[in-house]
Amino acid sequence: MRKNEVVPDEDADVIALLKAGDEAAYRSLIRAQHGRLVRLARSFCRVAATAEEVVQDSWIAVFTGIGEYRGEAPLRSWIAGIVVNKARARAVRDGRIKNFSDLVQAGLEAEAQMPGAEKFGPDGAWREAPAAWDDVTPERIVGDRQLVDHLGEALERLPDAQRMVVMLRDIDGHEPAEICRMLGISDGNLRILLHRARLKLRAVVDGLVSAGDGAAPGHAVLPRRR
Amino acid sequence: MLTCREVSDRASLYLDGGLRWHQRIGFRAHLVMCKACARSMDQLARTLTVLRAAEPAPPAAATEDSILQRLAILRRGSGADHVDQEQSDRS
Repeated sequence: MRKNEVVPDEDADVIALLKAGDEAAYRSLIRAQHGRLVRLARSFCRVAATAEEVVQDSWIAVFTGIGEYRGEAPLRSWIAGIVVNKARARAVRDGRIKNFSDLVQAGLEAEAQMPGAEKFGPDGAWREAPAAWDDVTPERIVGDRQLVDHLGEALERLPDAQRMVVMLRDIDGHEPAEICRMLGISDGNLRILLHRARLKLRAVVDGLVSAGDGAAPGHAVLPRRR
Repeated sequence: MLTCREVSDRASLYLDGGLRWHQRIGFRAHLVMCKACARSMDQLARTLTVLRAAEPAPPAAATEDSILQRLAILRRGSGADHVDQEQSDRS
């Protein structure tokens, strides 16, 4: 959402209730977003109990500050921004993060070259065409916890800044401009972090799919759906 | 004409709507003609779908009550200083 655009209609009623101090609206918002926000906070704090504490503190900040919310960003991005601020501050206080810009730099320099660069020849063409992922169907994605969990573990192993941007963009669906504002990073750096992270995560799924085809021994095998 | 590697390098920008219209046209034209790049894009899109499929755990039953109790205490006045602190944390 661009600056000065109004909030989406679906937020307007909720915001009016929140500003009026409606307890049912508070509860409904907590129920809808708490788990997602704890997951986001964990990408900064790593410790589940700390992330929970950060998000509970954030809710207090949200409800005491809702009167200041002017709708420049969607409500959920405004709330996520509060969580990011608090989680970052907590991670710095706990000594997990010394300097956030160092974390971004580490994420940008985590690989010597773009993941998967070796798959292309000097002419820029594929050395070998990517496999078709016929097995990775929407039904499979919903029903196969192993696939989802395996990718979740790969997400945890990403460098901090890469994990944070994937969490904000690909999992929570915030707009790039909002993420840049939350993290204080440039659009260019966001794009690089995001792309590198996505390529690495894709390689993880590809490893599982290939191992299921017997083409890549040594990888965890993704069992075929019966 | 973009090379396959250039398409791969721009894949995230394309998915996020970050390409300009003329870049988008070139990108799409390449995908129509190149099965390998079309598969690569499909893989990326499916990876993101798998990522989004992980549902976070719902809050514990006591969580709502605990947050609202803290809020009520703050609003009763004894925690005015804390409210000020919360407001400074948001900025």
